[in-house]
Amino acid sequence: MTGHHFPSLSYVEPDYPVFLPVLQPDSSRRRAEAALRVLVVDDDMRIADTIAEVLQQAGFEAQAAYTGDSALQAAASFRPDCLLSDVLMPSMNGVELAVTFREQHPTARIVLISGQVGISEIIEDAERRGLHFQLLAKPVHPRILIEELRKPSER
Amino acid sequence: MDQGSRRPSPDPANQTVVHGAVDPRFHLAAIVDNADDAIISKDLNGVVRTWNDAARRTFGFTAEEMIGQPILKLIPPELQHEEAIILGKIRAGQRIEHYETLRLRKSGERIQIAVTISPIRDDTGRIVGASKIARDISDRKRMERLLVEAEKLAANGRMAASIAHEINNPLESLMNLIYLARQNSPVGSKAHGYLVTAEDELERVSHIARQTLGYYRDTGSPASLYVHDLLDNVLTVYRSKLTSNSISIDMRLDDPQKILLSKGEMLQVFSNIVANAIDAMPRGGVLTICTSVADGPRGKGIEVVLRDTGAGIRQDQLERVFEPFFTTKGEVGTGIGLWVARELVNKRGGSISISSNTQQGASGTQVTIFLPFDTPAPDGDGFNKLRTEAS
Repeated sequence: MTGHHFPSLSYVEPDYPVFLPVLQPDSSRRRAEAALRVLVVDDDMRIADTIAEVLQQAGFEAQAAYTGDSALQAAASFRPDCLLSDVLMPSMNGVELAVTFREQHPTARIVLISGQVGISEIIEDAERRGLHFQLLAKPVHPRILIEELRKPSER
Repeated sequence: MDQGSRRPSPDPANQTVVHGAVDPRFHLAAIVDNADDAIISKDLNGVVRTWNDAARRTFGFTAEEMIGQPILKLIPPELQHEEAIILGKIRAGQRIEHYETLRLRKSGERIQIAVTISPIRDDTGRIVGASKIARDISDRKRMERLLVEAEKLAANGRMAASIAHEINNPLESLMNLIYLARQNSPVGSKAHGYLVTAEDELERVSHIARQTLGYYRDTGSPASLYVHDLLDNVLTVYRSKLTSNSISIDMRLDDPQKILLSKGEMLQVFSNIVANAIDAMPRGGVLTICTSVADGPRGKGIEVVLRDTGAGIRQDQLERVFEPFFTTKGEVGTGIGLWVARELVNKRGGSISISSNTQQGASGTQVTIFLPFDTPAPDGDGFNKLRTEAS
């Protein structure tokens, strides 16, 4: 190395900030074309957080909330394209949340997710009132969840 | 009991006119012949001496076929030792009261009977044989079983609902965490390999949880789809199990028409049957799956036939396979697979039937499912929805 000389171009610190593009595999490309905003709601924080992270890695813009109330608050500024909510939650359940959410965000898609048998009554009750919600069974594999959310809304 | 087929019996009143006095034995004969219970007598060697009409109805053999024959003809092979014990007690002058056991009909069908056996003595008091009064209690036993099952079912439903929540939630996080860990580990690294396997295993657990905790019953609005696609889905889930059990698949698919089905429910139906077929062929075999467009009682529909080359199911067990909690798989069976399958197929307005052969070399079980293109009329619960979305 000793006898070798690099071209005599000394490095000068630029006096303006340089922003180099950060290439994030897969996600940034998708964000450019779709960047669907998904609001993930589950009273089990670990579930809400991990789903949000899975979705972020897949190129969605995702935010987590842990109660129906905080979800409605977050939705006001986040303006999600899709609400992905657990059904059985204390104080405000997923269907109640969905009903209020739909009034405030009539074009957004709503997907409910539940691991509980017997919630079909809640869903059927909602359908009788003319509300149609898509329902996924917990545990749902992240791959399937991503595919499902990338599909155009059923409505 | 079926009263209509009863043979006219001698009328004791007429006998009185002819003979002027009633022989009490005529009364006895009439009573025996008209009894609802099978009344049989046998000698101390177990040879049948008399055989009334109810015995014919209960066991299927006529008096001509049974008199002079050993009573062992009625006893299933594994219970033949009972006869020696019975005869021993009779010789000792003992009576056997309301003993519940299994006996064979002429058709080979097993029936549950309650039997009372008493010694018959001659004029000198010597025991010369035994009288046997048997009642077919299969119906009563069946009712008892169904009651117990209904009870178990209700308890099971309550338990499944509470377990489902407790299990499915942690499974959901676990699945997400492992997925994230895999996504964030370098492809080709050891950790990545382990996580791929962990994910597969977890998918199996999730599948079982969804199945046994009965989730599928609640999901999915009906959609128009191909039955062969559903079968493909199911086989994908069981692919590794089929391969490791050396089971080859013979598919003959001819269902070029879509049909309105609840995907989750039908996946459950087919996967329960495929799982049974796999369990039936631990040493390998062939699983044949045929689909076709067929005519049913409610018009055209899709018929699916799934056939295995396993050991087959005995006739007496075959009659019960659709009952909840009945299993031929011992400890590993939950006894709800076929029951759930039938519930779901019926709910869709379809039918399911099973046939089986236990003869070596030709053994196997065949399940036939018929799903009509027309959805059920809107009279039952849940059917309204199907109808609305079909129109």
